[in-house]
Amino acid sequence: MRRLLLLSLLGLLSVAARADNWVLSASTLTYRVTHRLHKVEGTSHASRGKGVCDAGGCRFLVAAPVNSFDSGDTNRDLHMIETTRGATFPMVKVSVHLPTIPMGDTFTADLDIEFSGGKTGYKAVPFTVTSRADGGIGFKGVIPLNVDDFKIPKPSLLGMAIKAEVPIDVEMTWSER
Amino acid sequence: MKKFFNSGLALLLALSVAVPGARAADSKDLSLDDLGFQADQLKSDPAMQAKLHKRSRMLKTHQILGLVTAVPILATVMTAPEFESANTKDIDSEVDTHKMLGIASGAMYLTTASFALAAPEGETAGRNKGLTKLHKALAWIHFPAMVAAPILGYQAYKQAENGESIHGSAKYHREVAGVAAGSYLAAMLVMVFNF
Repeated sequence: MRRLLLLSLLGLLSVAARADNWVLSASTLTYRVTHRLHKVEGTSHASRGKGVCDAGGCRFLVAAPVNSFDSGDTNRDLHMIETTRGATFPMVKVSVHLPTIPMGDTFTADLDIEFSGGKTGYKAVPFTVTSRADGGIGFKGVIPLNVDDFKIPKPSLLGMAIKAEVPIDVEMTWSER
Repeated sequence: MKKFFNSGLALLLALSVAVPGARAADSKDLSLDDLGFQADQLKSDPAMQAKLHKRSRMLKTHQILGLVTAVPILATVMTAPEFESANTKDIDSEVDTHKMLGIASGAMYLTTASFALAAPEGETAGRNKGLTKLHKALAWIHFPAMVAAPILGYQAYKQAENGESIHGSAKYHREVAGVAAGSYLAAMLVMVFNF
């Protein structure tokens, strides 16, 4: 009987020690730049991500190449890469730690973002769950990115600089593996 | 019985370790290496960064000079003499002003163009899109027109100086210069609102 209990306990521990892996299956990241004369958007679908949930919680990492953002204009995209030091620091990385996979319709997450050689945290960023198909999870939200946080010089036109706030619209679908 | 339990225990532990993708609770943090990017996508390229920086500086100079050059170009167009209606003395004065402004415009135009032509291409070389493509396409109009306009203007001046009526290709000097100025201003405006 004692052995049976020990066996059950070990079985439970082994299950608890197992980790669930999550993979980013689809994503759209769109930055929005605002200037007094016009607004610009650049989109990337090239991000990749992975998540691991275990007894310690869920850790997610998402990264996108800086040069994968397309604003529809070659010159602007190259200027964006130059301004954000995208050749020296070619990836924008977002790390998230959650206690569990979100179960409700909304959730908040603390994000650590590495971009342009700098690292900044954004606390309690709200997201809305959009789907839970096939055991996966889809959600969207807006990361309140500010270029001043990363010491990125603001491009200007006719003596007027862009706004420091460059929000990133996020739409992601994750699948469990 | 003891053997059975020991075997079962060993099997269970082996399964818990062997499950694909399974990790222990104290596993390391995820890194970029876990995401499957190609090595060259992750590689820092300071040489490319320096190239992009040089490109930006040169195009910024191109942009500023382009805006400044618009002034003598417009002034040249506005000071174009009317050979048919004015007397000779007035024409000489107007022609001198027009000629000097034209020379200044041409020199500044070529200087402006040189910064764009000499700026290093980025990694999207030859794959222009958006308004940058339109800006570059307009150069195929204003560049030949900017070259032809002073040549035709010189011919027109010589014909007028000889007392001849303006004829031949010289009579299109005004139109060619208008096309040059118009396409130049269009190319400039495209980029002013497309930074």
